[in-house]
Formats: sequence, C-alpha cells, structure tokens
Amino acid sequence: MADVVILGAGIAGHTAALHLRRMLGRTHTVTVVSPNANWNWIPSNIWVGVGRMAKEQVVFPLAPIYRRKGIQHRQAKAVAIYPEGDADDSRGAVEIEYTGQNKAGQVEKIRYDYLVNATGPKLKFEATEGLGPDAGNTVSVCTADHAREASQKLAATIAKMKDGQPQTLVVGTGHGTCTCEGAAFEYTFNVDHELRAAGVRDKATLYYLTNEAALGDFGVGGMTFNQNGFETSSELWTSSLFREREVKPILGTHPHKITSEVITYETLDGEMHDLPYDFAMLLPPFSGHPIKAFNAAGEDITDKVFAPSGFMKVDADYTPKPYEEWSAKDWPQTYQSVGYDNVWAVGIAFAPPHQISKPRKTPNGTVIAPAPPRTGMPSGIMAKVVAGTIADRIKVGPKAHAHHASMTEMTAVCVASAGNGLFDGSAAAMVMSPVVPDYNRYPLGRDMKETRGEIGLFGHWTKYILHFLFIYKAKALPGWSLIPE
Amino acid sequence: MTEQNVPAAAAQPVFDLSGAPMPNVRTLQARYNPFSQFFKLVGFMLNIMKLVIRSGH
Repeated sequence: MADVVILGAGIAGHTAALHLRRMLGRTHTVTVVSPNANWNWIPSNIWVGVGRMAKEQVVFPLAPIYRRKGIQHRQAKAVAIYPEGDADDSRGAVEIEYTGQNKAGQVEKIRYDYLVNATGPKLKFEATEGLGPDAGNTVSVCTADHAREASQKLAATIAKMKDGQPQTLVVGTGHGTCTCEGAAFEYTFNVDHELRAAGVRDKATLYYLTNEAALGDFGVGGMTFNQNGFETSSELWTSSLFREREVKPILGTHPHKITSEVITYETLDGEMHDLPYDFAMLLPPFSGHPIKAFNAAGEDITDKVFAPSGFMKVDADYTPKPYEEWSAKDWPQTYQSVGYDNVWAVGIAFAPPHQISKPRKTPNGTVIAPAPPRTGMPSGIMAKVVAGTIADRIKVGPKAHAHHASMTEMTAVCVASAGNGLFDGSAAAMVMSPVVPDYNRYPLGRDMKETRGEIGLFGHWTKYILHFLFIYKAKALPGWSLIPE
Repeated sequence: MTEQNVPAAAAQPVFDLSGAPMPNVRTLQARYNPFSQFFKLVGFMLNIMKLVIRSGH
C-alpha cells in the first residue's frame, strides 16, 4: 500500500488527485491538503469581476467529490515538509495546520510515500505599498471573493458615470514582476464591454497599466502568428484591439505606491509618474507559499528544496546565465524535486529556471520582468503527467520511467475573453506551440503551423463551453477523464 | 477623488497606437456573424482535439 499526498486543490492539485484515484486501486491512499473548502474555475473569475456571473457559478465544494471518489481531504495548509522523514519514521512527512473541518489551528503530521506540491501562488499584495483588497485601494480577480468585490466596485463606478461624473479606470499589473498578464488583458476588455453596454464609455478613461515591455507579450515574449499568409506579431494584433476599443496602454511599468486616489509607478526609462484613478484592478505578483523543509536531523534545508521565490526546485537548470544563453533545455521535463525522487512540484508551484520574456531593469535598478505563466492548460498537463509517473512507480516499481511534459514541447490554448454576451461577446483565441520558445527547433521560437490567434464571437462561445466542460470534469462526473487537460 | 490634491492625468506615457491597424466594417461584421462564427468554433475545437490527440494529454 502506498500513501500519496497532494498539497493544493487548484487546477494542478485537483487534476493530479482525480487521475491518481483513477489510476490506483483503493488499497492506496490519495490525500489532498488544501486550505480552501471550494474548488474555483479561476478563468471565469473575470466574468464574476464584471457581474456577468455569480460566485456560486465558478466554485463548488470539494468535500462531496472527494468523499465520492475515496480521496482523503484535509482542509489545512502545509507548513513544513520532511522529505527524509524524522526521528520517529524514515518516511517523508508533511506538517499541516488546519484551516477548517472544525479543527482550525490544529497541527498534524501526515506521512507519505509520494508527494505532489501543487500549492499554487501566494498572492503577494504586500510587495507594492497599498496594493490589493486588504489595503482597500485596488481590487483583484485572483479569487472568486476578490472578483465579487471587484464587480461591486465596478458597478458603483458605472453608477457615477451614469450620474454624469467622468471616471478613470486602471486595469493591469501591480508590480514589475507579475505574471498572468492575460488575465489583466481579459479584464480590461470585459470592463470596456460593460462600459459600452451601460452606455457610459464616453465618460470613462480606461488605462491598461502593464509590466510588459510590448503589447501582446503576455509574459511569453510575444508570439508570431501565421494569418492569411502573412506573419503577424501578437504586438500588432493586440495593438489593433486596444486602438479599436480606445484603451490607453502604459507599458513597462512597476507601481511603487498606491493610495486611494493615485498610483505612483516607474517606467522602463526610470521616470516616475502619478496616475489619479477612481477604479483599479491590479494583479499582485506571485510567490511560493512559505513552506519550510527539514532533513532527518531536523536541520533547515529550505534553501535546498525551494528557490528564493518560494517555488520548489525541480529538474530544471537553475545555473544563473545571461538572457542570450537561455535555452529550451533549461526547462524541466518531469517536475521531480531536486534530491528527492518521490517529490514533485507542478503548476505555479515549480520554480521556473528563468523568465520567458526578456527581463529589464530601469536606470534606477528597478526590475521589470514579467514572470512566466504556468497556469491553466500547462498546469493540468503537468499534473496528469506526474500522476502517471507516480502510478507507474507504485504499480511497476521505483525504476519505472518518469513521464515527460516540458513546456518547451507543450502546446497551450489560451482563450482570453473580450466581453461576455451570447451574440455580442468576443474573445481572443490563441494557440501557442510550444509555450516556451525553442529557437533551436523553430527560427521564430514557435511552430508557425500551429501558433495562431483569432478574435471573434466564436472565441466567447469557446470560453463559455470550456467553463462548463472543465467544471463538469472537476466534479468528476461520468466520463470526466475523457475531457483533455 | 478630490481635485485639489491629485496630479493631472494628462502626462501619462501612453503607448502610441496610431500605427495599429483598425478593422474595417466587413471584418467587424464577420467577427459577430453567428453563422460564420459557428464554423470557426467547429474548426477551432477540431484543431484543439487534433493537438490533444497528437500530444497525448
């Protein structure tokens, strides 16, 4: 009998848990440790954030699904891992602190034979003074509750415009090292759509404040599409969307301080600027969750297991080197932890070897470097691949080959909503192959036959279909495993 | 926002979009034409399925 423990129940953790339960017999245990009681389809938070969906449409409780599937559930957060075991037991262990199940604050140590770290991001609002819902100045769409608050504040801003008051709205990234620019892009265009639907677009000045050095970068260094026989850059493509919708982009920014009225930010040329605003949705930078690691002697080995960012080191090449020397080979294949062959990190939880987008510094030394996205489809693929490796190790033996899924070979589909509506909605549907460019294989970094982008009503329908499809899958309803990641 | 103590918004370093192409009326109509968009949806879904089958994920 083997015990598998999964830290996190987001897209990666929940996917890993369901596949492991499917692949392993009931003699083996699968335990999920998550501080949240609910699962959240995060891509649809955008629609909650503009009031087009209720929170209840994007979340559901995990407990009934885990009960039905025979997955053990601890509503708790991981505090420390002991990959070499401790004085009591040579098996690895995780120290958890309960956040629910009527045990809040209680600490427990659970043993594992195999561990998957899928803890996702810690939302680091504190990295920028005054950023985030707790500071009370800006809103976020990172969680369903944040998105609900965003929708309420947006509705209040729209009401002021209906009363004839011009308003300044800012959407974007709240720090120079943010990732998920795609979410900010989506929210910008959904806000624009709502303003037009409310008949107040002429009363609004809408800014897109981003750490991207160029529009359409999305933290992946941009893309080149093959469109109607021509090579088109994602920069030109997104610039057209911004111009068409009269959104004002401010590029290469790092917000330093946010008050209830002004965003103070630095641009790549080192200049400081003040932007007065009435409504702002700014994403936070991410870090790993503060989990400590200890060896069998109880010595702190956190630096060995985790990168300084708090993300777990895996089978990537972390050797510091200049941007020009970065290679696709630096990226991990199996997501196995450094030094421990029964520990993996997937989704946001693994430490990327470097950015995909070129990192930059202002003359003042401020780093403006979009972090690599590793959410959504890549996250689910990594989780499924690691579940396959663990199942093989349990069923075949410890020498079973690890399954591979490098982001330098992985194709990802990204559907970025630009407005919700059955006949007036739209979305930018993009296919990126591979996610991390490989300039040794492709002259432009990506496969031009596969990489493409298109905007239209069909994109909205696609995102809407995916909303229901992935919630169906996450609920592990009949045939769920046939739905791809 | 009080007007006395906040700086003017005029001086923002907004990226110049004047060189970006604007879609013409025909393109805009095509983007919202349910009939043609339905076929685009089918094509996009088939493309996703092809990629999924090829990658095995």
